[in-house]
Amino acid sequence: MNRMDNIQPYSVLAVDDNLLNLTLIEKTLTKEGYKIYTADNGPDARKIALEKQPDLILLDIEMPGENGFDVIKLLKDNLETTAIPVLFLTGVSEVDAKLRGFELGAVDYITKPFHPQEVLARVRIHLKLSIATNSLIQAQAGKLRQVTAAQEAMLPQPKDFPHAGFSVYYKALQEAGGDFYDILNISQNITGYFVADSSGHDIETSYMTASVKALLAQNCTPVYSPVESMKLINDVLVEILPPGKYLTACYMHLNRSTMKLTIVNAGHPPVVFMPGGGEPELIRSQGDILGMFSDAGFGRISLTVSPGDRFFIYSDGLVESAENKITWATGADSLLPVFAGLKDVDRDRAPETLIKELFGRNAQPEDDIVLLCVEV
Amino acid sequence: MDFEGLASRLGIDKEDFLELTELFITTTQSDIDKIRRGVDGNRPSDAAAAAHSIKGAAGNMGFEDMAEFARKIEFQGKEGRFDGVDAWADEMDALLNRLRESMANESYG
Repeated sequence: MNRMDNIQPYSVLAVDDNLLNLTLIEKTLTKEGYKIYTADNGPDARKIALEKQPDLILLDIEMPGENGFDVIKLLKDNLETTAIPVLFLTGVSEVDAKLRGFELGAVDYITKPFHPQEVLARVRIHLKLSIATNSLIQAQAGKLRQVTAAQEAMLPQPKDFPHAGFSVYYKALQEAGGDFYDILNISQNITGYFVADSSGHDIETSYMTASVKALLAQNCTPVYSPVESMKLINDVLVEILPPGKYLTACYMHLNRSTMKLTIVNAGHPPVVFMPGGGEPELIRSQGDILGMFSDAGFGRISLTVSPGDRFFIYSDGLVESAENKITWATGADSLLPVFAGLKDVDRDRAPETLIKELFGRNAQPEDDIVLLCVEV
Repeated sequence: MDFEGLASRLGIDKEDFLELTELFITTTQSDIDKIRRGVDGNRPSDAAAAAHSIKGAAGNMGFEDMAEFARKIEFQGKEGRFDGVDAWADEMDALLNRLRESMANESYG
């Protein structure tokens, strides 16, 4: 919210067991346009901090009962008050108290006896710092949101590929998601479907996504077989990826003229195959990950398909749970009954329906998820 | 007493300073009484706590003499002693009375 829209003053919570000190601070800061809350003891101070969320706290150290150190520790331990800057009031010669205050998370101190104009000056400085820090955080979050938007713009939508016969669910947990998919119009009747999961969720990952998209466009052509395309892409990635970065991927190549389908697997979870009207099954194949080994070998499976057959390619976020120690090697089997329930669900609604079935309406997945449904 | 000058030194107006002085007189009288009860009851830490409170408030208001007596009492209290405390408490009472007189003159003046 923009403060200027509502003329909402900055607020300061002053905490001191000395009523005169509190009144002096209150008078000084109120006249300069600040909203002041006061407390003469620790528990009241914490209650006000929680309820009113002041922009800054002035905290006396020497108070009976819960002293200033106790209060700042409890404020910093509470997620709802931990970000509020605390300035403490302390005697001029109390070096140990100052050091302990800083250790506990205070941003500055004011020595007692204090001059009201010094209090005002320090309040202003620390509010400016706090505003600058918050602006920086907002700016960084804004840039990351731009990355998200750019990344999502790279993800093809079904309406833009009417002949590809696919639907998709895509969800990035963080601004720079690690999952990625692409649809490739290799020729009039040949379509490539690519799903990858890269190690990491950082900005570097989003650049990697752009690189892989360019490599797919260059190498998934009628000239190369699906395995050759993946090998070429792997060789470039081995050269350009920083240490520790790699991808698991599945590339599915569908020729609607010959009704031949080829799946190339690079360390990715198995594809789910649902024959038209039949029971779902897993298509397992071994293969090395992309971008790690120059002599990588990929699993390859070819099938003859029929109209109405469906294939689901997905990232490990669909089946893995760090919380429940489930990996896709074991988790994929448990998916099959859920896929069986999609027989009568339209292709366009299948991914969303499956996600709701697996995670419920409000549950939060533990990782990025991409789920691609391809219908022959 | 130069209330105008003391107020100016704190960067506040005289009216606010007089209001704060009223509050100071009330709280300090209460704290001096606590010091005396601390001495009578042989509770030096109580005397030190009350003196600490006077020291901070007097220092902030610019009442240096009062702050200095309070500092001495606080020191003695923290050391567990009462040497000189009665006499310094008397001095503080006297300073507080002079402050009351000045406030009264201000009201009638």
